[in-house]
Amino acid sequence: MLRPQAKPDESWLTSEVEQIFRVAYRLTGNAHDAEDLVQDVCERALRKAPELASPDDYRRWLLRVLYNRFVDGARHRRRSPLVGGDVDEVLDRQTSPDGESLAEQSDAESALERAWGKLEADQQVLLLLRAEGHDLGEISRILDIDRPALSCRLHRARASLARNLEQERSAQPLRVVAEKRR
Amino acid sequence: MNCDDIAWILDERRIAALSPFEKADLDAHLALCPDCAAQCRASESLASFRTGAPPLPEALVERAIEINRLRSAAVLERRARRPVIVGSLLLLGVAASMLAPIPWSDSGTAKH
Repeated sequence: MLRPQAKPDESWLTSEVEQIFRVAYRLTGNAHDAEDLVQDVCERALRKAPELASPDDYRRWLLRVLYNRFVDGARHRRRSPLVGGDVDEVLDRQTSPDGESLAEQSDAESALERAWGKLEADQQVLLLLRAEGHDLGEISRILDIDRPALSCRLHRARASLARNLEQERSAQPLRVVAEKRR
Repeated sequence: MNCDDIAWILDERRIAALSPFEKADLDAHLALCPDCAAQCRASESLASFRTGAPPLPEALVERAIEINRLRSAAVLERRARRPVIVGSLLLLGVAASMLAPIPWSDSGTAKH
């Protein structure tokens, strides 16, 4: 269904917000941050959405705003340590959907969360878009990055995640022993 | 299959969607290439990563609409007030110039 040259009205935003919230949750890892991020995106969409040709274009535009806001927020937190805290502190704040803390999650999930937390925000964005099922062409349109550069960045992000995961898995037994001693 | 093919598959396709023949080819490469194997494992682990999002918070869009409405109203109010402020400042300037003595009126033109 095409909506030529129509600015997104409230009903359009309402129909998209569920998907945007789901993606925001995957990015941030907790419901409160996801809610803040999506609210920010909705406000921007109502204020600044350009005139686009189709609902798909609007969805891409919303995703781009979401990812840009997420990366900006991560950079801001990195510059202001008081806002963000260190990686372990941030990871400990993260909870699964049913409220269990990271410490209560399985070893594999916990290792993945820690490995993920060590990635740059823009690497997280690329990997998450890919995990959401978007192919390179679609990611290129969403983020407005040309394909060769994108492929290179995606490869680096995947390699970093793989390296972090290996490190976390090998450090896991040591962490368990340290926690038992506490 | 080589490392570039694996990178292409990881960029464009899903490992679960490969044909049995492609999968066998992939597995043969992964058995010999630890880097590609680690990248495939990392990619696959993300498929179910943080997928169970909680329900959408109530009235999220409505709140954004309300914030936006208040913000627009504040901007309009500021704009409406601007001419009044500028007019008042102009009047004040005119009044001040009428009341204050003109410093150069007594001295007249300079004598040479």
